[in-house]
Amino acid sequence: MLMESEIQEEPRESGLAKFKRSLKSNVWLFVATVTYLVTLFQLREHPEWSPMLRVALALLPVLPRLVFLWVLWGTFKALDELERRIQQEAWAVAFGGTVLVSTVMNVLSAHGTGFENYPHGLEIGGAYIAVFFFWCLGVAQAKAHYS
Amino acid sequence: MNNQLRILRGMQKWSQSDLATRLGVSRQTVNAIETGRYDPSLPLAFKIAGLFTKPIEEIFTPEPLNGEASRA
Repeated sequence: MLMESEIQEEPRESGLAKFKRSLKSNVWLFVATVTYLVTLFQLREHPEWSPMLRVALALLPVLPRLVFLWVLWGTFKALDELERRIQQEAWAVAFGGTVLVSTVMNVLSAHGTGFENYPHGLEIGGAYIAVFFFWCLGVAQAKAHYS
Repeated sequence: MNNQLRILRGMQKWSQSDLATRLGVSRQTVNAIETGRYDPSLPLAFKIAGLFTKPIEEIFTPEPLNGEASRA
């Protein structure tokens, strides 16, 4: 049997480090949302601005979103194997669920049997909400399965 | 897959958190392995075996295939 001193301890992210990482990602998500709303408002208020400026402003919120995704990726890499499995299953549920809902809406809309107000399916805002909803569902299901 | 992890941990008087820290995983992972709800990856199984200085097959044993138990 190994002695206590001989046991190699694996460095693992502490609770504080996790909190800091989570805070960092939420701050960038907040920055992305605020930037999006400000640019949206400005572009509506100033239709006279040049097309180049409008394109630059429209794409501005992408930058904080990229940083947010980078932080999120770092969080994913810091997870252990079971936590990664839970996230993989949750994202599979999120992807499948969103595609399913979007397909149902499109089919019903195409046949005039409902969702006439949504001819383009979920669109980007609805897709975000659907992904989040199904991701929560997936995490809850996977956690219940493994605990 | 069945395993002896809870027994081996008990012999060392370690909590699930103690073992999780030594393995570099979360307590939730240790709990899931002990209860048989999650089968660890091969690298983690080797790490567990190394920590308890036992061969993997002494810690992890496959569940009998259908009908195998009745034939034995």
